[in-house]
Amino acid sequence: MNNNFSPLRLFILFLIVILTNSILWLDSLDNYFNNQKHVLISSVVPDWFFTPSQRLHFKTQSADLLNKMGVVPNKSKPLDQAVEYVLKIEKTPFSSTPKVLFAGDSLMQGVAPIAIADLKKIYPNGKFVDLSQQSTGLTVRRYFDWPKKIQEESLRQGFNVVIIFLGANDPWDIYENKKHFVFPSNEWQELYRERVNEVLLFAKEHQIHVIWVGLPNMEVERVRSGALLQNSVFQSETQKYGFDYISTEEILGALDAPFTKYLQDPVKGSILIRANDGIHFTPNGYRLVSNQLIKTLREKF
Amino acid sequence: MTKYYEFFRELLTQLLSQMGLQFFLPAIDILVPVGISFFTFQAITYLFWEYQAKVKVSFLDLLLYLSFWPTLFAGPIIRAKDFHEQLYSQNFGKPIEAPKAIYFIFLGLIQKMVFATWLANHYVDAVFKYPEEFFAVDTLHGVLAYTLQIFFDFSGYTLIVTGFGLLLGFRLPLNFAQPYLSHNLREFWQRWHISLSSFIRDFIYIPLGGNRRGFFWSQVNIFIAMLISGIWHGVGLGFLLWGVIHAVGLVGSNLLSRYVPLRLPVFCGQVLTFLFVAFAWVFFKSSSTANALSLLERLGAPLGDFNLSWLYLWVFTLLFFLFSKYANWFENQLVSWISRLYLWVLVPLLCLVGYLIIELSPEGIPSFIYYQF
Repeated sequence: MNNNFSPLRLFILFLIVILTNSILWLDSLDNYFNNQKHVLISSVVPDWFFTPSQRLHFKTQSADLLNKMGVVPNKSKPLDQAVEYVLKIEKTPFSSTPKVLFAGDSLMQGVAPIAIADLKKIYPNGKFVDLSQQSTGLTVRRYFDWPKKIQEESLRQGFNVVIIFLGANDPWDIYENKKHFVFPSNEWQELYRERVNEVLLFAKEHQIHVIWVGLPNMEVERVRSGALLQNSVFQSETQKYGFDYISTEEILGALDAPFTKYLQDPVKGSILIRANDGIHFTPNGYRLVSNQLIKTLREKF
Repeated sequence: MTKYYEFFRELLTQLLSQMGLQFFLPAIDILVPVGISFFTFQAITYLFWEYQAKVKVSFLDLLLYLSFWPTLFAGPIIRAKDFHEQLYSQNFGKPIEAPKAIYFIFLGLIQKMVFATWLANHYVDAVFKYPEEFFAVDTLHGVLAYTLQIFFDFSGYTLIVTGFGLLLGFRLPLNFAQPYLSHNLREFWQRWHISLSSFIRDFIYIPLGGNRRGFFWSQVNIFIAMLISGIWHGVGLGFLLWGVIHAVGLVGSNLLSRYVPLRLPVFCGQVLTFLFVAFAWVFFKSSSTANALSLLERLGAPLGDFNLSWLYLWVFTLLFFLFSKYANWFENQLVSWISRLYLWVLVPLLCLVGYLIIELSPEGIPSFIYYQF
């Protein structure tokens, strides 16, 4: 019988439970802190600390690894689909209905529902799939791998357009293969450009049109300076491939102007377009982006 | 007021410009402190208590009360009198009912991290975001699942902080008492977010006159109180409508029970109350009234093909009601079991439960629905 839950015993009990689970989930914690807090536990903690969590989650990781190495037995299946899809697109470039994938972070989570509701009315037979997920981007691939996700979903669902709106989570250091790429060094920019390229190259090869939505002005200085740099990458790369780049700076605030949450309208006065965090938008702001996006899409279909 | 200002500013500007008048209210950009709703409530109970009981509380104790972190973000609203009585009691500073605290914390984690997120990811989010994509039964499942999700989300949160409260030596007020088993709407509000309902009763309904001026005025007061409750939950027509729906429901059921002698079987009352509450949540959850209506319209769509996820939700719902019915019995059994366990058994067991909770929950840290209010 143990009826004595003294404060010390309770403290030890919770401490052991928290520590044990921290160790058993250290790989996930590392991913999480890398993505959300931009620190890497694995750079300060010895590798053997990770052994229990890696052993426990070996199954899922090994499946990913096998996928990357291309030794998954049914790998031939998506390839077949890809070939079939390319042929289909070649016959009917943009004459058919749009099949659009919406990819991005929380900014896209705000834009996509508004855009899709309007697009459904314009293209009743169109296909519009929103896979946006908050806190994602191109920096921490092991947390969420957008290039891979876009490739897989495009092949699986036969999209002919991908609309991408992300980047606010990205202006942080990249850790890859034990290398550390400091934001905003030249190496960081090159790696970031490579990742953007990876998406665009795949799209070009599979005749999928890309509409890349640039970032508007941001209140948070780091995100603003990141957006300046990222926009130049997004714009130059999309233009290189002949894809569309939508600049949101004109509609939601230029990056070199002082940040403002309001849009001045001669009839309606000040319209609140940005959320309190200085990154996200209000429904008014999302609608402005959505309108621009629909306009660009209508030029294609 | 700050969270409502922008809404009314836009509304007024729009109305005036439609009337041909150009009048712009200034745009104000203010940072709202975290937990403002809840510490305002607690501050009101403090002022009331101080005025009525003529007590004097030290400034430090008052700061402790207003910034008491377990209840700061989303309640439950602990009244100044209850808080300070515990603060000044002889046992203060020692954990109370530790086995119950452990039970609450882990049950809360399961409710929030496993159940609420599972329902959100599999049944709710897509249906509410893209209602036109779904057929009737999926839409119905979305509504049912959200009804369960919001309960697990908020009840889970409350259980966790109540557990923390006990460990810190405070008994927090009960916030949920199996609300979905209620036989009528009045009972629902006595069992759902109890600390808010009783706050609204004591600080809005009764000061308005309560039932002291007869049946008619009592109904008017109920209506006003529910309307204020709706508006308090957030800016926008959805919350207002949700408040109106509950107000109409409460007044309607009062009128029925007064003027119609028909008495329904107990089970029918439970089912009708649950359905009413579930459909009212649609307006609470939807980002706009248009969205809520287009979701409800989908209930007239074709049924859709059966898939296994339907079955999972049915089984889950059945088990939910079963556990709800015997919740007190389960609680007593498990708490007494925990209190009888040796620490060397309890610790590994809790480690395992903790591991499973994380295994079954999605990536990242989910946010709480009630944090926004």
